[in-house]
Amino acid sequence: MSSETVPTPTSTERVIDAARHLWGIYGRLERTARISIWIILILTLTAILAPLVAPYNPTQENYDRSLASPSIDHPAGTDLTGRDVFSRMVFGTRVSLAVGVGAVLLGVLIGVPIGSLGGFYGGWIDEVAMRTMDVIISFPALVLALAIIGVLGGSLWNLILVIGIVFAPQYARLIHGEVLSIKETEYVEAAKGTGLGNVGVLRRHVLPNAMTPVIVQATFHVALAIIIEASLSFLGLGVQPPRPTWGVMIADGRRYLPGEWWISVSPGVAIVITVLAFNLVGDGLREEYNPQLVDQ
Amino acid sequence: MTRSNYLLKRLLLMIPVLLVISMGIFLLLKLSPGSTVSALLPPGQQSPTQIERVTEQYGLDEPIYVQYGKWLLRAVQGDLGRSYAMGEPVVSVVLRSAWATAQLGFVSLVVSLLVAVPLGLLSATHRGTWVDQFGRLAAFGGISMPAFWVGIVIILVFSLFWNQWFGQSLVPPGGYVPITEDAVAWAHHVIAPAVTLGIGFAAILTRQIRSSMVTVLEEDYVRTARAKGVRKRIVILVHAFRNGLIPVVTVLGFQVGFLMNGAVVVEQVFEWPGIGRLLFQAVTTKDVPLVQGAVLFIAVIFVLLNLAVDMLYTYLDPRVEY
Amino acid sequence: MAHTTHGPRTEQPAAEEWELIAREDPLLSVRDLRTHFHTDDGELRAVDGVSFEIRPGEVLGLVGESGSGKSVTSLSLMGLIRPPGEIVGGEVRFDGEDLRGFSPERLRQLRGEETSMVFQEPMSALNPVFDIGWQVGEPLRVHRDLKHGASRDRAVELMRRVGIPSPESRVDDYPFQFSGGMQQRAMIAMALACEPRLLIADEPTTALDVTIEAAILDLIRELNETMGMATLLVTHDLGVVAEICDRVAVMYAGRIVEYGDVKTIFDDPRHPYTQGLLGCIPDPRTAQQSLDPVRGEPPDPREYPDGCHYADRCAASIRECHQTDPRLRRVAPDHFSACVWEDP
Repeated sequence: MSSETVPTPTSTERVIDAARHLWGIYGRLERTARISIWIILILTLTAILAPLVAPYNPTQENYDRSLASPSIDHPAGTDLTGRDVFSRMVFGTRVSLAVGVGAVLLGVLIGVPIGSLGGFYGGWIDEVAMRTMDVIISFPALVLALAIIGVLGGSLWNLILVIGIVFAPQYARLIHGEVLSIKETEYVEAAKGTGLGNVGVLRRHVLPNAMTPVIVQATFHVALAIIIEASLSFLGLGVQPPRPTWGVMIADGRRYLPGEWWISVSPGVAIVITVLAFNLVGDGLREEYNPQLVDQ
Repeated sequence: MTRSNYLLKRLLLMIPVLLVISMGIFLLLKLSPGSTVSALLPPGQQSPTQIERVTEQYGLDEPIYVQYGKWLLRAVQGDLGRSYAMGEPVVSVVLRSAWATAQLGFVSLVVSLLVAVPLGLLSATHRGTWVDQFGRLAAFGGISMPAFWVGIVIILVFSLFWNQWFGQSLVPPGGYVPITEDAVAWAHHVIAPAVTLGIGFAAILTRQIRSSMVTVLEEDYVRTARAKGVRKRIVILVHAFRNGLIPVVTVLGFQVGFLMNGAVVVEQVFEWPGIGRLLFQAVTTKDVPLVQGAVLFIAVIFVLLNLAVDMLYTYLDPRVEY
Repeated sequence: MAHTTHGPRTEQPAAEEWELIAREDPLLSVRDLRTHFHTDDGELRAVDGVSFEIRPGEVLGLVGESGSGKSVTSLSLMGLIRPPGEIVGGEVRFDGEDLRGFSPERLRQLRGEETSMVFQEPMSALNPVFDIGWQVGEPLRVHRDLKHGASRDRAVELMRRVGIPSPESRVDDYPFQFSGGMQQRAMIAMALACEPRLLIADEPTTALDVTIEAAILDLIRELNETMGMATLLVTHDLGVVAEICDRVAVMYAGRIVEYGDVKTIFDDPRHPYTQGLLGCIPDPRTAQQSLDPVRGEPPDPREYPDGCHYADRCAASIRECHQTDPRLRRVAPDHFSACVWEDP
């Protein structure tokens, strides 16, 4: 019997394949989700290119223009020290996206290995780990984050860390369930039969299929993380001044209600747009992977 | 097993959970920088002798497990210590705040149900039409708005601006009046924070109701009800809704956590003396016994609420066994 | 079977199909009923011109394979077709009046009182969160204004009538506490509550064990005889038809292909499809037999061929079969066949 070599795909081919796959998903999403993806892209670009997008330096004080109303020059007005609110909002995008995406990434990186290894190997360690995860999950996220951050002190990195840890158990449990159900299917048996070690089987065969609910949940979590960051910053336990973050801006602006209401209201609009975009994308992805209704 | 046995079993299971939570928080508080000494002594009075006295008085130099053990011993006897910052017994402070939050939670639950049930039902029965799309966007909008910002906007419009436009506020900009003192004023004060909290909750509930009703309306027994000549309204509200409620109630239990998330900031914005605001203050002042007490209380309420939801579930669905 | 002694009847029939099969004073007269489903993939013609009648007290079997349109027909009669489905043509005359002209409210009043329906899967057709007494008594509360206590008492009697043992103690039970056969009896009790003049049973025994099936069929037959209740029995099982039906309508691809008295049709089927169906039934008395399953598959209801829907599978088909639109024609007293051949 002659042996043939089946050509393995090159990395370029893999990338093209992945891109095509993603484009296909994009095409199938419904309209609001697609619009939201564009909004997220714009926001990301805004965050990265903040110095270019913002008309003014966010920390530049200008006492002549203190508490100016919204105008063409200052679309969202200025605060007490004359700083342009809009520019501060633009820079605030950085913090929100960094915390949102960072915390979720951390949560996934912690939770997925724990959940998948536990699900795959089972045993009493798995039981204990999962029970612990259940306890943490059942606790309201903000309260937990509040308690821990209050103790550790607020900062950008602490926020990412704490929110990530609060989210991790959810991913652990999600993956755990998926791994459990996939573990018993036949193609895993077949994969083991090819001599692949346990971790290899986990990595190549089990995980790729189990990841879709994780991706959906992660998208929703980014939205939630941004709200938690804003809430904690609002309470003073989050990102510290002078770094502009939407939560802090809203808190600062309270003093000037109702007179200079735009200082508090505008950053909130930014939050709503960002969070709504992520939520709609998450819902679109969920429909794609787990359609719950038969379309008429 | 019988219902009461099940109840007992669940209550007993609560105990290890509470132990774990209280241990975790205690450790976190004790191991963190910024010692409790500074919480106990105002800045001007932190001489070494005073620090020593306080340390001895509160046993702050004992090993951690001893400190925890002492706290636990007193806790099971109902004594949660005294708040460092306030001096009052933790138990009374916590109970007082919890009562305020409970009122807020109750009213906001009512508000959300009043919005979510009709909106969710209409979305399900008019699936695919603009009513449905509107409901969906409204729901997602609702959960995308941070509660503290919504609170600020509501105060801005209905209190401060209203005052400018009409000479008086529609609702006060915050504060609390006990219901026993003045029911009307209480209602006046509770409605704005309750609506703020309720918006997010209503959004989630609407989606849940819609989703479960859409499934139920396709079921065979709904078709049977129609075949019997039952009026359309009864088919939806009795035959379908009674089934559609079941998964919603399950989810309700989990969403109480969401309510608590919102409560922390809403209480802050509206100066509502609830347990969320209490926790925040306790954490920032490193008031260890108060934090312990508040967290423990929240955990207990949580578990009890989840248990109540489970019990409710068994009443709603006759197929469920314990 | 007789062989072709005459040429094919390719001339247009003198009158409408439903006029040819009409009899005196039918209770239900279905005339060229057409029910379509407007789907994204095309217009699905589930019921493509169906005509039949039921007289008071008669049991008509509507038999056909899955997808033939028989269930959609029964749902159309009850006005239970919902979007994307729609009745697009024909008449359904109950007591002489066309139901298609009824307002939704009038139709609703008819349902459960004059005509009622029993469905295939009793477990899912019964509401899991209400007890049997509540459900069985409901038609009485809706149509006869009975109060809860009175309707519950009547429910007990109805349950007894359909053969549910110890109904007084079982009336408070929930559907999941009943066996499949008992659930179906409860459904029948529910359908009988207001003493309807027409009972539509859509595959009532398909989901049940064979032994239970016999008992349920006996019950339906007995109710038909004692209450004089006309019955439309929809099924895919010829054996069921032979058991309890007076007349039968054989349905294929949205149309009725053979119709008439049950004994006549079983003894001497005239449509190739019916012949094929009967030829598939094994004879328990002979050991050696070759069964001839009907070859091929039914056509896609979104794209019916021109002419006779069965022509592509038919051994006796000729060119005319694709050009004419075979409708039911009399081949014997009370025996109609929708084939160009009178006796293939």
